[in-house]
Amino acid sequence: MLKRILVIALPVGLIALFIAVMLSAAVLKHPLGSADDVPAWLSRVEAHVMDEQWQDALEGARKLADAFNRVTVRVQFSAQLHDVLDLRAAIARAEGFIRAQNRAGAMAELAEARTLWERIGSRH
Amino acid sequence: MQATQIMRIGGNTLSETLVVMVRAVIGFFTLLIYTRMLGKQQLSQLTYFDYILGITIGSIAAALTTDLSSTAWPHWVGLTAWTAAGLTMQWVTLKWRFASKYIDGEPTVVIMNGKIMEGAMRKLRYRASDLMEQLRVKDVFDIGEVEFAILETNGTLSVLKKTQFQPVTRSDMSISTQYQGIGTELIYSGVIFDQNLRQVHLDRSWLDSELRKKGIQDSRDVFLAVLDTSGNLYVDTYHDRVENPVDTGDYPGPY
Repeated sequence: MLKRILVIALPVGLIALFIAVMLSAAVLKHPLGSADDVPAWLSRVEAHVMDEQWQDALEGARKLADAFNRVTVRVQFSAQLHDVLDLRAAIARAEGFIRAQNRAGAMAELAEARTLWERIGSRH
Repeated sequence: MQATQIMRIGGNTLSETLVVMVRAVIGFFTLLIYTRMLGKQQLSQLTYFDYILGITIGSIAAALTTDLSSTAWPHWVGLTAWTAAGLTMQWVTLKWRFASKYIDGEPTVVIMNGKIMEGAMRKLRYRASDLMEQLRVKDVFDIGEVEFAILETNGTLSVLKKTQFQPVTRSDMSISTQYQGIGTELIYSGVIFDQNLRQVHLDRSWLDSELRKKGIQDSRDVFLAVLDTSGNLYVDTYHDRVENPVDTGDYPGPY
C-alpha cells in the first residue's frame, strides 16, 4: 500500500514542486526587508532625481542595484533572463544619467526599470 | 560607487549555469514522468504519428532546458499540452474503433494469394522496391514464395509464405515436445533472489548443492544463474576460463 502511494505521490509531488519553482518569481520578488525592497528604492531614487539631490540619488541607485541583486538570487529560476539583464542595464544607465545630473534621462531609465520590475513574475 | 562595480556585484548573483541545471532537472523528470504516462509501446511498434509526437515532446524539453530567452513555464505548459494531447488520442483510439482506424490507419494487404496489389500500394505510395526490401528483411528472396504480405500500421511487413515453402514443424512430423517456458533468475551479480527461489519451490540449500556440483563454492562468484522449465541450471561465473578466446578485432590497438 505504501509503495502504491509512493508511486502516485512521487510524480505528483515532483510536478507540483516544478510548477512551484517555475512560478515562484511572483511570490519571491516581494521584499524580505528594506534592503531588498526594489519598488521602495525605485521611488526613493525617483524622488531624489526630481529634487535634483544628485548625491542622494547616486547613493539610492547603488542601494537599488544591491536590492535588485538580492532579489535576483531568488527569482532567477523563474524569471526571464532578458528581463533581469535589461533591468540591471536600466539601473546602470540611470546611474550614469544621475552622475551627469541629467534629470530627464535618469527618470526615463527609472521608468523603464519599473516596467521591467513589474514584468518579472507576471505571466504576460 | 562606479557603475561598473554595481554590474560586477550583479554578475555574481545570477548564475546562468545554475539556472540551466535547475531547468534540466525539471525537464528531465517531467519528461520521465510524462513518457511513463504515455505507455510502454516499443519503439518498433510506434506509428509514424507516435514517432513525431516523441520527437516534438523531446524537442520542447530541450528548449525548456537551454532556451533562457523565455521562462521555463511556457515550455513546460507546451510539454504538458502535447503529452495531454497524446494521452487523449490514446484514450479516444482505445474507446472508439472508428477513430482508431481513422487516426492510426489499417493494415494493408499488399500481396494477396500471391498477387501484388498495385492499387493498394499506389495509395500508400509504397514502391515495389520497398516491398522487395522488406521481404528480404523477412528472409524472403523469392516473391513467388509469398501467399500474403500485409503492411502494418507501424510500417513493418508481415509475411505468410505459401504452405509448400513453410518449414516443417515437430507437429507436422508428429514428434512429441516438452513444455518450454520462461527461465527464472536465481542469482544476479552474486545476489541470490529468495523470492524467485520460493516461486520455483526451491531453497538456498538446493542452490548451494547445485553450485558445488559445478565447482562453485560461493554464490558471490556467480554473475548469472537461471533455472529453465526443464530443471536445468545455467550458471555463469565472474571468472570465465576460456581456453582459446576468439578475437573478432582486426587491429591490435590501443584504441
